[in-house]
Amino acid sequence: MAKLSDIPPREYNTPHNEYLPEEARVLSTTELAPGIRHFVLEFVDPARKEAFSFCSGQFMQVSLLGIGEAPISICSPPTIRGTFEICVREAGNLTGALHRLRQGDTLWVRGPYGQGFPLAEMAGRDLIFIGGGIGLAPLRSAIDCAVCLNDEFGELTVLYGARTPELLLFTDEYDTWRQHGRVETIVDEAPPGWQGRTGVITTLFDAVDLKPENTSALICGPPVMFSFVLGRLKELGFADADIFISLERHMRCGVGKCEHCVVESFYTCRQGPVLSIGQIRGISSALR
Amino acid sequence: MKQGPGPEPEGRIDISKNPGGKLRVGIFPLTSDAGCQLEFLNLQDDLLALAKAVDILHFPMARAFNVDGPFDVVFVDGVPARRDELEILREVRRNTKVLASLGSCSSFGGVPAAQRFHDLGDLKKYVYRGMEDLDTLEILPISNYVRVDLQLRGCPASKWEIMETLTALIAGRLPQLKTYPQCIECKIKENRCLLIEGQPCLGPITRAGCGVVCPSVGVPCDGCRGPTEEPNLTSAVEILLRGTTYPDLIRKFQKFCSLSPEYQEMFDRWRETQ
Amino acid sequence: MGASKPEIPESQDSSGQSVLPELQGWLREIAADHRLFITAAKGGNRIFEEFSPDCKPVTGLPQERTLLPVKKVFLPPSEPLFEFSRGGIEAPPTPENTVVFGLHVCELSADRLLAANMAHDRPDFPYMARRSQSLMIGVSCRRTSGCFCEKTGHDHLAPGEYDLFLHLDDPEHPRLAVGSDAGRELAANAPFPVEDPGGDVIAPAAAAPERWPLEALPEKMHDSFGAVMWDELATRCLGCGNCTIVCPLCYCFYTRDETELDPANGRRLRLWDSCQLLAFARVAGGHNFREARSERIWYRFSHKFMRTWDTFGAAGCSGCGACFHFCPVGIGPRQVIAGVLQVTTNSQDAGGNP
Repeated sequence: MAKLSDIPPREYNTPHNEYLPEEARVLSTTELAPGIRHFVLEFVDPARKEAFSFCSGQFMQVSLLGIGEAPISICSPPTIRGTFEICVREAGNLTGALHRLRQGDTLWVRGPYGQGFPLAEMAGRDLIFIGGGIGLAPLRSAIDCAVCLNDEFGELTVLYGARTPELLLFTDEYDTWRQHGRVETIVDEAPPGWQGRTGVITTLFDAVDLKPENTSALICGPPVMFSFVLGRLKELGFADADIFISLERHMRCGVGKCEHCVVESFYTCRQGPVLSIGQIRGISSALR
Repeated sequence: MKQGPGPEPEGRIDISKNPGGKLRVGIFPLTSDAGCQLEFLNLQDDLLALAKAVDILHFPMARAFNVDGPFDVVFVDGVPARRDELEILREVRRNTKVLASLGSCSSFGGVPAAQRFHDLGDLKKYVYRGMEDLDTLEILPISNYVRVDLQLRGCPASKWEIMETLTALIAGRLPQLKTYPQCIECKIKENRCLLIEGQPCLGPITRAGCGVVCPSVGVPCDGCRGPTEEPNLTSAVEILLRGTTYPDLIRKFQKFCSLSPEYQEMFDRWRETQ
Repeated sequence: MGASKPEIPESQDSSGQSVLPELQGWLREIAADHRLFITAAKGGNRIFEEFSPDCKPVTGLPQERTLLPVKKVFLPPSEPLFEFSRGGIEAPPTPENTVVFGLHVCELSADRLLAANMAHDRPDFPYMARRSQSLMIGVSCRRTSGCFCEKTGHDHLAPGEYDLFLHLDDPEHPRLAVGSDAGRELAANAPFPVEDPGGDVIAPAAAAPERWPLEALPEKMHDSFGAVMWDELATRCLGCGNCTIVCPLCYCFYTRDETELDPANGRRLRLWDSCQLLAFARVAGGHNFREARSERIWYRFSHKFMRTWDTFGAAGCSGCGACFHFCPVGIGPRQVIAGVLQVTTNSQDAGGNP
């Protein structure tokens, strides 16, 4: 714990202006689903491009000059160097403008920020990924990382729900993931002829066989999903310390100064966005 | 903000294919004192640059020849008080991508809505003497008739908000109009607080955006910009009554934004307690 | 070393306590090579103002505290984080050396805590660029503002926690205490007897000097989440944000891009925000993580008495009482903390965190 007395008033260091973004180029962009686009980006500055590294679950502050800035999770694995990917759902000024970017256009980014999924600590364990909607984006970074570092982890299980079949993201990658475990999907509502499941995401637990004592759970999705999923994991015997959840909050700075993302005693941007259930135990406003 | 009937906006405004790549703007007057459109001319320092940067195609106050569209954005000043104005409003809606209510008349009925607190027959008899056959509509915010995409409030509308709207639409974003209370800006200007001195200042429950014009010169806020998000009117009324009487306070709320949903709900509660 | 005999200060006029005449000359000297802020009277309030030859510095008014705290000098209400144009982005220049004259004990103590917060973890560059080169000169206060610094522990300073401190408690014998090397340099031309090194500075005592149980408050704040007392406060609170704007230890902000008529030119602004506003915790798409006013009030006090204590071992409330003074409905820390202590002793009243 930092104490005020540890910080002498005249020796503040001001090493780096966190608020200045850097330019990145759109290498490619595709529509993943209605209203959701995927971007492959690289820093324009070659040195920055070379040096850039991150963890699965971390986010970037992405902006367009004259439009605004927002936190967006990285959805590519840290094992891919030189580029990074984001997934953007159109929801306002900035995301609408991002959707209009095309190959070769540039945008501005700073980061990475926050704590990602502690994958190194999960070595040797099975992993279960539970995602809802666009919450699959940060999980995809971790899934691809686990797929790439195949020998480091046990079996992978992906449980994924979306509102409709066409809103299921990264569908063409499920076959690759399945080579390392299972992928089960479900949708809230489907048009006639849909072969897959409909219903709530917790029903997917019936389709898979888990070894809770040797499995870490990684969760990202809408808050409404949390209580049901966590309840089910508890029933199965998962320990709080083995369940990791990525939280969404309003953020402006990314560095614990603007105060928007605070949940009671922690900054979502600094201690989060990924936190273990053990870390947030007793904080009733965290999981809403 | 979106309110009122009609289809959703057709997405962003692409001005790149417009003549000269300029934003096509219309300013349409309905019944009002025209003070809000005048604010465009009061832009003074920015006016010449503005005239170069956008195409103001319809602005009867300042132009001899006016075009009826199509527009990227139309600002409607005032409320429909006659049937032909209603037709103009509907036509304008069809001819523009973004429709902005300009000022508290078009947003909330404004001063013309005072009509609603009196018997229309009496008004015709005493105010419009000799015009008893006057065909006038009940005053309603324009959002009662058409979809409104942006609400610029105030009496008059604020120059800052007009410029923010135009520069935002040119840049490809929706303007970020202020939703927080006047108090924030008033404190930042380090004005003395009229409310704690006991004056009936509506600052805490009124939206910022005008630059706290009145309190900065020692005049309590009259609430012309309408309520903040989720105003605590019950508590505010209790405090305001320290510095004014009940009938005066009602008149204060009725002056500019009487038809805002938040005030309407408060009036209903008042009526129940009468 | 300012050995001249101190003169009797100008008699207090209706606007309060003006500065000593010889002080004006010293301030003019400081202003020659610094960006100097003094306090002046405006509308019955003391405010920080940039020094100009014709300004009238005051050291105290019947309202002792300033309307906006000194944070406005280092974290302006609105500032460009950078400007942009077709050529890219450009950060604004770093401001020159700043001297602030006229801070009371609680103001210096709070400023120091705010600076620690901005320096902590990932430093806030624009704030630190201004603050780290600044000198702070304190003056005595008279405790006439209904303030309560002894309750929050912001009622004393050790040498080093001020650069200079002008003791005016005995108006006939002002003395200038030196608290830092940088302060010593500035004191060289001061027209007062200099006390070097200066000692502890303690705010004048209040009638009821007992401290709040600050060590116990984090837990009590936590336990009070959801308690009825917050709902009761919410029925009165107007959500105007006054309390956060005038607070020396509130610093939250939002950012907004502004463009000119040529959209290639503009700036990213950061502006003061308030956690009391409905939109504060709302995310794109409309979900609001702190929808209830009662929770927003709890959140503000939990920041002050729980989070700041846990991080820095100090209360995030200076005890200046500005929030109470400028609250239209009279909500203030003394009432709230009394309520929090009460609520947790009657645990059946607490909604409580699980």
